[in-house]
Amino acid sequence: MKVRIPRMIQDPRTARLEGIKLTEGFDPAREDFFLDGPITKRVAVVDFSPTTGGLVPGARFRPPPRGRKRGWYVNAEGDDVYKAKGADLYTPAFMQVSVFATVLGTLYMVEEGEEEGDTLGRVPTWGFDGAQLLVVPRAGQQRNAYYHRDSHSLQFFSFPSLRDPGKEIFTCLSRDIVAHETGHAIIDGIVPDLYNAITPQSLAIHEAIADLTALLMSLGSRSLRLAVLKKTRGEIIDTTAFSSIAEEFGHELERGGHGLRNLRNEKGLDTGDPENLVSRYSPHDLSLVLSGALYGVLTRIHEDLKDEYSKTTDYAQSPDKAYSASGRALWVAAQRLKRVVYRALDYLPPGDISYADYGRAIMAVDEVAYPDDPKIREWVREQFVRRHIVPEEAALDVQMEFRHKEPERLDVGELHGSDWAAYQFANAQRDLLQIPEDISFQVRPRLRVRKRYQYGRGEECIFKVAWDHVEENPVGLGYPEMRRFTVGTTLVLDWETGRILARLTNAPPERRLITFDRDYHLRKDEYEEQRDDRDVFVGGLVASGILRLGEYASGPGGRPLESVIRADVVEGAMKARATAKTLHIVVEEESDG
Amino acid sequence: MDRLRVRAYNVGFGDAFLVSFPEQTPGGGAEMRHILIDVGSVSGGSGAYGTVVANVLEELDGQPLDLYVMTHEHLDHVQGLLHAEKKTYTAQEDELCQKLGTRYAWLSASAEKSYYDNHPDAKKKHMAFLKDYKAIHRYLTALRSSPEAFPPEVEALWRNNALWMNPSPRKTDDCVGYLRDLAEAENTFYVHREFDPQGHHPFREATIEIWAPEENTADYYGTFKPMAMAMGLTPPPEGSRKRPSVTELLPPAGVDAGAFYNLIEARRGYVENLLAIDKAANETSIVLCLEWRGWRLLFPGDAEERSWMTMQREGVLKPVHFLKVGHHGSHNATPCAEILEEVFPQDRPDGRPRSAVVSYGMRTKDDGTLAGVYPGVPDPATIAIIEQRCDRLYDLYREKQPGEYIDIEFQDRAAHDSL
Repeated sequence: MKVRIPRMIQDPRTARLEGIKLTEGFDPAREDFFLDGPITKRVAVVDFSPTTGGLVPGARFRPPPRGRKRGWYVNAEGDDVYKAKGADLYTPAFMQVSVFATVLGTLYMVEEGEEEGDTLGRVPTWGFDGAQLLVVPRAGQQRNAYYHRDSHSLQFFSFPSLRDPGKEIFTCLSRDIVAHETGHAIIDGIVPDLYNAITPQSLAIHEAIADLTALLMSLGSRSLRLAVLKKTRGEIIDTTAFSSIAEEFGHELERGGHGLRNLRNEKGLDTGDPENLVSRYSPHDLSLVLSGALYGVLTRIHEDLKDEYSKTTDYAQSPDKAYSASGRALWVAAQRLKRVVYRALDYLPPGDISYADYGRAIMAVDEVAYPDDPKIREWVREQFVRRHIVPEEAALDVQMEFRHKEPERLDVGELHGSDWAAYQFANAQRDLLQIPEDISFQVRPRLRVRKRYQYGRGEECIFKVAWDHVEENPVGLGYPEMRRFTVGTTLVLDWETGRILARLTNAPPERRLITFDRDYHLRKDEYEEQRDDRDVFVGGLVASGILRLGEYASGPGGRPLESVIRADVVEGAMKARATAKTLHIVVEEESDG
Repeated sequence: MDRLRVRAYNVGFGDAFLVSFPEQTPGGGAEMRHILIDVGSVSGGSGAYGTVVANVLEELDGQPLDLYVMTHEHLDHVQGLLHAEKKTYTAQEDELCQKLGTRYAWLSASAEKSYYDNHPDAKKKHMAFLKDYKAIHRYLTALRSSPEAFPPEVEALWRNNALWMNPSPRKTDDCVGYLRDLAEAENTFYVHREFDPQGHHPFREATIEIWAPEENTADYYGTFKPMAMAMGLTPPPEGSRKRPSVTELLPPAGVDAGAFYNLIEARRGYVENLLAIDKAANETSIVLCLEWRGWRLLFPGDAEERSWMTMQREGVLKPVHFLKVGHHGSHNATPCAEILEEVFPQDRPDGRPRSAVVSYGMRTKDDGTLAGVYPGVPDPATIAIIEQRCDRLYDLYREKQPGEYIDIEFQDRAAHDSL
């Protein structure tokens, strides 16, 4: 069944770009059913009255009449929400439908071309135990919006307009913010371990990819894309329309007209460049380094494709060939970036990861899919070194296509389908998987993915094994002297041949398992740097009372406190969980989550 | 008397300290000085507050109280004097006030009537909390008549932060109003870290430092906002005098019922809002360091982590010989190890003994076991950490009955050595 629903592109209460429609239509076609709300099997809008807290009836669904294929949603008066304009854009029915359309649109973007294996090569699931994401469009009044795993929900708040007293700014009407928060929910489904990470860069990856998801949604909006390119004559380097996340939100926060986070930046970890140096311990600030690096890669892809397209006959005959070529180049560049950004998440080793881990995952996915086109890999290396994410390009090297006798005899189908076979394999291949000798491990559910490559399509089995690493925990005040967090290894296998396509690990380096001195020292330095970051980050959470042990994380009646991160003591070492809540606990009131 | 004495009263769940010490007069004689720090709740039962106030007056022996300090605006720190005035000292409207004859009164900066008009950032946050509190108050009032119950600790949180509760004098505002008028207006000061105590107290030998709060209390409100105050109240029918009732929320058709109820539970996060309101008030506590003849005593009110971190950042911390354990022994009012090391170092910097005192209350649970009146207060692990760093930890709850007191004395070393 199909429906035609509207989604807000730019809220007129905050919009800055001229020549862009306020809303655009969206025709979701992958849902089994539609109900009042809107509600589908995997997304449900639940709206509460800001004054009484009671449930507000959802927009009513009108199924298609006989002989027609498309249904629609109506407001309390029975009017088609798609036709809403003016004051109707701020009615509960429009907000319910618009936020639903943007959430679903973000999901569709990640799933786009899934049958051709365009992105993940599989349909992502949620990071919680359930099939349905609840969306609360009017969660209350504060300058915030966030993904909340425990209640399976996205929470969108509102706040009074500064520019226009008496008017309310609804974050559920900001395409960027809705896409960003939906991005968090999608990322949590792909890499759920990040939700429990204690390494600042792991949490920053959540933020950075959520920002890039919002960017990709912007680039997917044809009317926004064309309006911006027309204004800039085909350039994207010098415009903030795409690179500023939640630009309209930023205007309302009196930040000099800048968006909440500008992806077009030179932020890095170089202590010799104080102007661009960000805190290593603030996931929000830190996220700018990665999102800025990947935005830099996008502009390189775009420029490269634009040059290529402008030389082709069709565009050469155009009176403004650079601009004409730019639109197509931007669309294709966005697809290439999306592929790399999301596929790399699937390749990540389990547990806490660093930016370098993510960079290596990008190297691996791109080399597997585009072995003869190294440009993106070169640009990523360049960005990562320039921003001091890694000390040298060699730190992003991934061991690819190495031979190993056991996996060649492996039945990948059996490995995928049988837990027993998977554990047998992992136990026999501890060295290959970098599992310490005397430690128990967990094999994660294997993924079967079918992807589009440079030359045709490929099928992979993504095999992950995880275990706990224990290290010193110098936070004092009665907290355990040791802490534990998850690490592991990902093995990417060719489904047909069983050949290892890539191995990625975040296991602390063991000298006996690493052949070359340089590799060992790079890995050791990287581990120690991340460990030091964890010391400061965890110490800060403890000192500020946000991270608490056991029952101290509960309030009256034993109810878990939302404003607190709970850590438990497991075999003498502290293990924290749901640390991603810090992304909306510790941020300043005026920022998004 | 050649010693300073801290008289710590058991007032139930609350604080009351009378600090008495001799000072030399210009003529070479000695006179006693008295500082009264908070006279807290009446939870110690009828009579306890009366006994405490009577004892304070007895100690003053007709002399005026030199300085009254109100650390922060919580019932368990402000309620006692007004209650005694209303219930016991009824011969005239301000009998107790007259008997105390307070020369100087120091109140936390944000207790000044015009404070929020002069500090718009703090006002914004304060007003948001008032709004939250009103919503919670309405909800808990409605909840009382519904089958749903709330934990007893919530009642304590609700009452202690009751800014609009009736009848007086259970209303914090009234108690603070009484304390504002305790001393003459020209000798009543609203203090913060940058307040210069010099010339604002009558002491010649003793010196006082104010380590906290900051003048602008906006930072103390924190940045976390729990989920919306969306408890769901159904208004009574028009014209009805009934109270609103708790709305029953049912999942709409097609919504995962389990997830829906989890969501409702998360949205009813009023306890966290109450805790946040409570914490913000605690953070505005006056942290007072009194120095007398080489002894250094610290009364931090109920200051919590954020205030301690600010004090460290501002470089005001130094080792002390006596610590009033903050917030009745809660884990979040005793600073982390790094900060505690600056105040109560593992290795004492001089040969003088160190002591601490903690006040708290307990309640008997349905199963007959004891629990803190307040959630997580006291915290045994925190008490153990303090105890491990001092020669003696005085435990008012365990050692004394309500109305009774413990004397902690600090000998004048010079006078003692000359004997």
